[in-house]
Amino acid sequence: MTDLPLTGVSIVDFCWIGAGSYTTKMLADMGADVIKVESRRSLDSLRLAAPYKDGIKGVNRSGYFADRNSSKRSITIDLKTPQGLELVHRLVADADVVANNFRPGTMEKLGVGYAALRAINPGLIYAAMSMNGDEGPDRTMLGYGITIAAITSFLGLSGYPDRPPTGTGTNYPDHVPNPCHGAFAIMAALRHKWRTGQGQQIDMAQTEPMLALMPLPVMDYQANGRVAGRQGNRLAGHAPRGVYPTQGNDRWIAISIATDAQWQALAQILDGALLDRPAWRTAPARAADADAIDTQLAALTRAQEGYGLMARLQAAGVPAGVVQNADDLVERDPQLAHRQHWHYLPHAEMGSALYNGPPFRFASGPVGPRFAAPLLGEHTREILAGRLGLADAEIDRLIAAEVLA
Amino acid sequence: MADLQADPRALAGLRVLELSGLSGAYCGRLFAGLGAAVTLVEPPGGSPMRAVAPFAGDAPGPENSLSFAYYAAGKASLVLDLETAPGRAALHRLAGKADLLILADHPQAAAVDGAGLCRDHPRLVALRITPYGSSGPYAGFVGDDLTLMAMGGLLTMAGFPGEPPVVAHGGQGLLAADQFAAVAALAALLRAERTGRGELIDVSIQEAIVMALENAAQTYQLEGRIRQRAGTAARAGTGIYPCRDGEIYLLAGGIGETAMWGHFARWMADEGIAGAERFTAADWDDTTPAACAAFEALFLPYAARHTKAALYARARAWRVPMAPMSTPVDLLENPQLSHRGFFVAPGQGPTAGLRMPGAPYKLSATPWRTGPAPALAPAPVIEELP
Repeated sequence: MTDLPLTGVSIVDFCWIGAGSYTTKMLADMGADVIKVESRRSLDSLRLAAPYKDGIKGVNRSGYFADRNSSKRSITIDLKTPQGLELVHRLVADADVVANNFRPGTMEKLGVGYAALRAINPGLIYAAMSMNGDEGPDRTMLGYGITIAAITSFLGLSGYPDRPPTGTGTNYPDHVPNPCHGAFAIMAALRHKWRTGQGQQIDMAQTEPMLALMPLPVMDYQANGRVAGRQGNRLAGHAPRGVYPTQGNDRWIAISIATDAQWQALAQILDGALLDRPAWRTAPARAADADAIDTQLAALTRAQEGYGLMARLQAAGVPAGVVQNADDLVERDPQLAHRQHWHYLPHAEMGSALYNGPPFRFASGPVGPRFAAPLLGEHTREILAGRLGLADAEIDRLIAAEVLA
Repeated sequence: MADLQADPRALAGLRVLELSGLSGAYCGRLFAGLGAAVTLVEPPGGSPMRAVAPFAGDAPGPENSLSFAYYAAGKASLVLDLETAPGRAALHRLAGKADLLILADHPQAAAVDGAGLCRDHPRLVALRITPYGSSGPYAGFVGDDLTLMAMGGLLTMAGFPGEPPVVAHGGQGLLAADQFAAVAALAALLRAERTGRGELIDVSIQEAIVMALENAAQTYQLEGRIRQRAGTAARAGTGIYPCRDGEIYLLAGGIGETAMWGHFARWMADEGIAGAERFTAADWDDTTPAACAAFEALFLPYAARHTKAALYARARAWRVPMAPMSTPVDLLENPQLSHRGFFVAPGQGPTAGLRMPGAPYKLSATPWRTGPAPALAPAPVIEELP
């Protein structure tokens, strides 16, 4: 048994809702001890976001919260009490990292801004990830994944050209760009701290990782004067490329043709006579006639069972994939099952609850969710006793004084 | 390990070999930006990324691809023919001096034995990025961004009900895998530097996309519902609305229990909009069709008088979640991004002066730096190994 990559790293986590909590979850799943600082008086609103176990609302029942907070411990402390603030300062004193995704100024008001915490712990890594970052005229704007998608143009550029934008149907920046960039930046700062003893401040504006993942519209505009628009499922150099109906209710298959050989294989598998017209044998001709090909293709795929068609196309080297939904992925996808993607972890209120594992496998051993998301305040006693050495009687007194609320 | 005085950057001293195609390059870019020495190993004729449109001046050429100018920024280039024994031997020697090997859809990837390199170089962290992972029933499947977004479950949620789903802009599925790969690799490198033990990491692009499903898997498990495409939002005050010079996205109610709606109602009342008191009525329910119509009757005439920028400034003051639907032109002039110096122009030759995204985060002690993308050497170089 080998140590997890981040075993021994201590994180005091003020993150809430989406992107921030996902960032620290990734670090927790890789071995970091993440203490989630919460309060009953100001709940992480994701604790009250659907879905809930059996559809019954409760602060310890949200599956959305659970998946974003695996492998973390929860302590409840009312930071607005002097004793509560002092306890948090003591927790931070020997931590490696403090993370938050509040608007700039909020942490300072609570007494846990960078200046205050650096005075307590000079080697601290202090990671902040607000919508617009720590500086600039719009720094106080509050944001969600979907408004970040809008302001970065990601939403406006995603959809069919002749229809309103549709984006991903989710708060996309919350789930991949910001958690991954946040975790990468924190680990880079950890390396620097281990080499030099020096801590530092990480200022990540949640708009900027998303923009870093879509460089071409701004570059193409400058270089060629071209203003990007929505392209649906089409892509230059690929024709046909689209999503086509198959047997069943709301079942579809995605097919993407990049070479003439793939096109010939597709035509042969579906119906050579209908598709393999001499005029469509070259990519530029297919691109020019893409609408007609899409209509023809859809008429042929409609009679096919999706997975069977995918298997035949894949056997011929044609990029094809069934449009899978959550039921398909959780219950039947044989590849995700082979990779043991899904984890069912025991939880006091939720029973056996479903978590995503990470999308990577380490040859040295498993890396992934270590234990279920915490109940609100589940580890308050354990942390105060274990990390700060408080006696039971002292903890009882703090509870009675409503410091640990 | 590099001299900290000479290069104080966070990843200085890390040596990275990148065997990428369209996938793997953003992972290498994240390492290069924070100071790792990243060498892009290109096949004869150059990386496939050099052939990706659009090009500077719409003129194809190995130094003209805008994608290459961005994704290869700050890297060195070495041309090796891995189909030849000397080429593979050179890679083997280089891997012995490297900390990280990124192996993705390089055209000659089949000639590279990642596991063998790890065996021979126990300190090496090797990363394999493939469509579905390197073992399992779909290991031999091919895929591109669209088909992987389908199989990963994100596609089904994007678009209009009953119509074909539509993929997100910009190859985000491939990029998702690059980002998770970078996280995994850096975690393994932190351990390798402490223990001397490397790692072999297997990344699946399909599985990286599954990470983006928001609450869909849990909604299925806990409530038995399958999330599908919703098209546009069905809540009053949530969605895309026209204004004087374009469109804005408004999320007046926020998400969950955060009760942002009151902020919005006070803003509208302060603007003196006749009928705005309706928004604070006890029986107001923003999920009904009547509420949507009532909302639009009050808000749209107001929005039509104001620009995206003016509405954004007011929303900020009233603490209402709202954002302009930016165009690429807007982004280049965005005052917040300008203040932060987000766009930079590291390019040389045909891409000189072109602004592109720079640092995705600011590390106060060890800042990001964006260098130029490397030129393509005319022929395989194996005698001038570093």
